[in-house]
Amino acid sequence: MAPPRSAHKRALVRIAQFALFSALVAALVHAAIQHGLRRVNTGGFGAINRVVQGRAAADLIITGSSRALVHYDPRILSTTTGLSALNLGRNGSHTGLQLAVLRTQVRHNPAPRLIIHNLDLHSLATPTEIHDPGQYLPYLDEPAIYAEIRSVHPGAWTWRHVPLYGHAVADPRLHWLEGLARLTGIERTETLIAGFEPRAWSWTGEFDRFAAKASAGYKVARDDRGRDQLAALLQLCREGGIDIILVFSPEYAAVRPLQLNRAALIAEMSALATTARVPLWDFSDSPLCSDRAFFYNSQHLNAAGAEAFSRELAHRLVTAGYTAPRFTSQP
Amino acid sequence: MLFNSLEFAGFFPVVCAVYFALPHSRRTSFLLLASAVFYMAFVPAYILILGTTIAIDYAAALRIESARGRARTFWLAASIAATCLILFTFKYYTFFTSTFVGLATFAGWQPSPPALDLILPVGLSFHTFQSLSYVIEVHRGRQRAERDWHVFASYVLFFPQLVAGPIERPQNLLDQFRARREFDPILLTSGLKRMAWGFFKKLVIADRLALHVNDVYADPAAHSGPQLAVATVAFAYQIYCDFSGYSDIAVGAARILGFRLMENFDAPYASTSTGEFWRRWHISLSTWFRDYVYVPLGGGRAGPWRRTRNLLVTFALSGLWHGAAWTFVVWGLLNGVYVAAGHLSREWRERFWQSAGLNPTGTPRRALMWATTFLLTCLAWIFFRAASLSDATEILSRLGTGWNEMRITTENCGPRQLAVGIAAVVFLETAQRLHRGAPLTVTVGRLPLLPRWSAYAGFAVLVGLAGVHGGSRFIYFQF
Repeated sequence: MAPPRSAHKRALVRIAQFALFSALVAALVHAAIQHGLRRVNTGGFGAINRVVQGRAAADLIITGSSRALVHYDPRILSTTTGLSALNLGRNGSHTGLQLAVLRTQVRHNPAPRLIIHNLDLHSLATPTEIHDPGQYLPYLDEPAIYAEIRSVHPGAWTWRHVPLYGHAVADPRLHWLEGLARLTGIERTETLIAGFEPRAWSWTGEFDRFAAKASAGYKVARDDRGRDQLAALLQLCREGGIDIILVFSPEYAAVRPLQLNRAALIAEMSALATTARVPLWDFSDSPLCSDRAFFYNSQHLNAAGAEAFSRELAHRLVTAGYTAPRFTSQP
Repeated sequence: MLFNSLEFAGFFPVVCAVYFALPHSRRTSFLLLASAVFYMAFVPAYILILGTTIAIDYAAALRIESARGRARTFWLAASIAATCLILFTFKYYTFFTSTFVGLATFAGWQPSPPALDLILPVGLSFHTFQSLSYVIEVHRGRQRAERDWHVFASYVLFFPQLVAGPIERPQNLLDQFRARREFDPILLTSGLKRMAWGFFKKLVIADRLALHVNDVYADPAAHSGPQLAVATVAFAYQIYCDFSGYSDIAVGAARILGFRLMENFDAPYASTSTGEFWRRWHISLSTWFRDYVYVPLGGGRAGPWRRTRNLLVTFALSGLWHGAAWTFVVWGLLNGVYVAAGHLSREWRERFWQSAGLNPTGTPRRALMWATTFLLTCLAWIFFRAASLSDATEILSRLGTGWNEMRITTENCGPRQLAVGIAAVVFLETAQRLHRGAPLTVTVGRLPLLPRWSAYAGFAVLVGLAGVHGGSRFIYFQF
């Protein structure tokens, strides 16, 4: 026998009530996760939290992608030059996002005196998606970060405004667990040293397998927007009175023959630097580049390589006159 | 249209609302239309293929029913041949021609058959088999030929189970399109719970474990024994949760509309023999092959060796049904060997257990049998998942290497993701075990309103947060 119509109505009202209840639960869980993530003190969240909380002031700031993150040891740079140093390298980030993080840093902290911006062959490209967008979800109220993420993912407004939606669809690495853990007082061990992540890894063989498959070589993408973002980063420094050095940190030499448009890309970056009257230090000829013992793959130095490179860079900074007290954030 | 898509989240409530708002006489036609829209969301033109299958089997069944003597068999054979020709053209043509070319080249001849470059229509094997079961049942006199083409087309096209089953028999589903049904809140909540459970299996377990499995199986040579072993066990759960998750969503969606679909899985990894596994895994296909291939071949009636032959033929065909590649054939044959060996060694095994002092219902014996069954099943899954036979042998040869390092995570599946996947599997197995006593939903359903709603909402939040929402396809769609 079919249920009476009043039962239908009651059921539909119940469903609506349950939907509202679920939305409330979602909003509460969302708030809890965001609250927890913005209070994380370690790892990548800890690094950005210090930036947005105004605790990331330094004379020398290093920006860039994973190559910046694992190549530049602020301790060595600081000891040698006398400048306080902080690494803001972000894993998998493109130039637009590196610029957004830098804008956020400048917004909440005293401007640095010197920026070392690390380049790679992807510095002139805009990606079709953000790498690991979950790491930026707690910071979507930061105008620069939000604008850059929306430029790549126009639908990212849902991540910001629909409770839990961003954590559900844009966080496959489950960063939200870190936020909930923080609420219970659990934090993972700090792996960063002033934002620098030394990786004591041996050669993974990943490049050898790649090289075997791509023996004919490959072209690295570039686009005008990517170039404009690098130009915008240079302009931000010029307008803020911040000295900037573009640095092409070491790549494993064997990768170069495979990069078919390498020369053209580096020439384009050099032209940008020349136009902006900014030095570009290319470490492609460093002796480090031909020694596999310093790398774990073709693009990334291991901890030993990072230490050697940081020393080489620090001495060049000293030689070029980037030392305290001329360069200091203290008024 | 994928179940795990925003399109379906909009499509399904609208279909339900319109379906129950319409007078009974219009509902089947509306379901047919909705099913066509659902199917055409994949590749619109392929509705013509489905339409051809429906037309052939609709007409053939009427002919079979009205014919007498050998004419009945003729119409059955014609229907099977025509339906299978479509399946062959779209699914097996490339496989058989490439195998033929390989053999011919080996013999010193170099033929060049034309390449068709066709895309396999989603779920072709499923609706082909469902349609075939209808004509066979009509031929056997166990089902009346359907006069109303709306009803028959709806039976083949019914969207909840159209692309990945369960492969329904006409006796169960066909008449349900005629039954008068009203909106039932109890079926609605029960169906929604079943769908939520399916989404949990698909999004939280299958798609999460897929991150690990895809990394490892894409490049087996680059991964160590522990990674290969973890990926293989992960694949066992990935494919189970992907497919049974689809079935749960299908059963739940059909239930909301007032339809009852058959159960397709029954905790298969709790099996203590491979024979039992096949009674619990993809039940609608296993029973299809049992009824329409194994039994007609003679089944187990003509002695152990004929039974072995029949099992191997049936399982080889089952493997080929899954995919047009030798890896699937080997997977099917391997399972056939397991089941046949289980029959042939029954007495020997019984003597072994008795000599070891292990009684049939004791935990040690059952645990050993369970572990052996699970291990054998996982070994067979290697062939199912590997991209080629050489990859499968590479994986088997590397399984024993690298155990001194014990690295089990991969680039896209770090410790946190793997831990969540494993925790979800433990939750699944615990829930399935509890289900044997009292279903989890019954236990939760007895709670007072606030804790009950909190449990349901919490589960939905868990599925949302711990799931992978990349809109990945269900594995069995490709079959």
